[in-house]
This record gives sequence, C-alpha cells and structure tokens, in this order.
Amino acid sequence: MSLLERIRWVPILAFAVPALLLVLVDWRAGRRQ
Amino acid sequence: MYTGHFGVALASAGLARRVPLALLILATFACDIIEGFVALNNINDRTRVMSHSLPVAFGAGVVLASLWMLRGGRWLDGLVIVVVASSHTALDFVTGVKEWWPGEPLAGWNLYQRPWLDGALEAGVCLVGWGLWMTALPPAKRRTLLAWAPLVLLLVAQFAAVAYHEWFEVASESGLSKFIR
Repeated sequence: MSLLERIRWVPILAFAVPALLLVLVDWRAGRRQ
Repeated sequence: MYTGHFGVALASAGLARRVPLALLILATFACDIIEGFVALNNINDRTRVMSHSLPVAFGAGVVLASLWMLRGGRWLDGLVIVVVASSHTALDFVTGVKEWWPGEPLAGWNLYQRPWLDGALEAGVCLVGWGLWMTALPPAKRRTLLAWAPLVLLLVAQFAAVAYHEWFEVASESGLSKFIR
C-alpha cells in the first residue's frame, strides 16, 4: 500500500482545514500584540 | 478530543499575544502529529503511549517553546506553549482511554462513548477559548463577523464530527492511527 493510500484524508482535513481558517481569521482580525 | 484543542489554542492566543496562532495550534495538536508519524513507521502503538502520554506531550511543548525562545520569544510565552502542548494529554483523558503515563494502565473517562455529551463539552471549551481570544482583538474588530467566525467554524466542525461518529460509527481511536491506515 502506498503512502497516499495509507492516509485517511477525512480526519486529516478535519484538523487541517479549521487550523488554516483559524490562522487566516486570526491574522485578518488583527490580534493585538 | 477534537475542537476542544482548538479552543485551548484560541484561549492561549488571547493570553500569549505575541505567539502566532499557528504555533499554538501546532502545540495543541503535537500529540496527534506525533501519532501520525508513529503510525507511518508501522508501529502499532495501541495505547498511544508513544504519542499521547504526558512526558511526550510535555517534551513536544518544550521543543516548540525552545524554538520560539531561540527566535527571541519571552520565557512566559514559552511556558504557555508547554502548558498548551501538555493539555492534550489531559483533554484526551476526558474523551478517550489511553496510557497517559508510561507503564500506567489505560485510563480515561471515554466521553467518545457519549458523543453528544462530548460535543457539548467541547463546544463549551471552544466558547471559553473564543471569548479569551476576543479580548485580544481591537474593540472595533470585536463587532465584526470576522470575530465570530472562529466560534461558528468550531461549532459546525464539532457538530459534523459528532454526526459523523453517530451516523457512520467511526471509531476515532481504532487501528494504527486515525490518520494512517
């Protein structure tokens, strides 16, 4: 089985997509330093 | 735990305002990332001691905090990073059953067996975390849709996760890893 076949994409995307969106929102919202 | 970890990252972003959220998210999910790499090496770490035990979570936090401080970050922010990484073990104790310390028997409250209760608890953690994150925003930004987006995103993601488990009976912690077959 290749690496791509071994990856469970749904759980990975379930973590990665919210993570990316939160980082984007945090940046755009201008959290104070 | 799923979105609750994001809640902790948001809360810590409200407290450690110099630390990028990406680093805090990396810290809060360090255990899961390690779990993926363990599984990639075909190691069947059934009890998750190699990825989710407290020494591993703490160690991951120390590594990330050290990297942050090497870049000139404050030690207090480094401490927050260590606490955030270590919180993974504590939060997963609530939702799952794992070997939280090497040599100790499997333990945990296993709230995954009651998905809607788990969902409600994680939503509560997200709400508190989002509230703390909001305090770090400029007042004018707090009244925008953008400021509410993290809470909506996390609640939708948590609801979807609960529904996914309920309808498809997916075991979240079965097999080699939830990320790798």
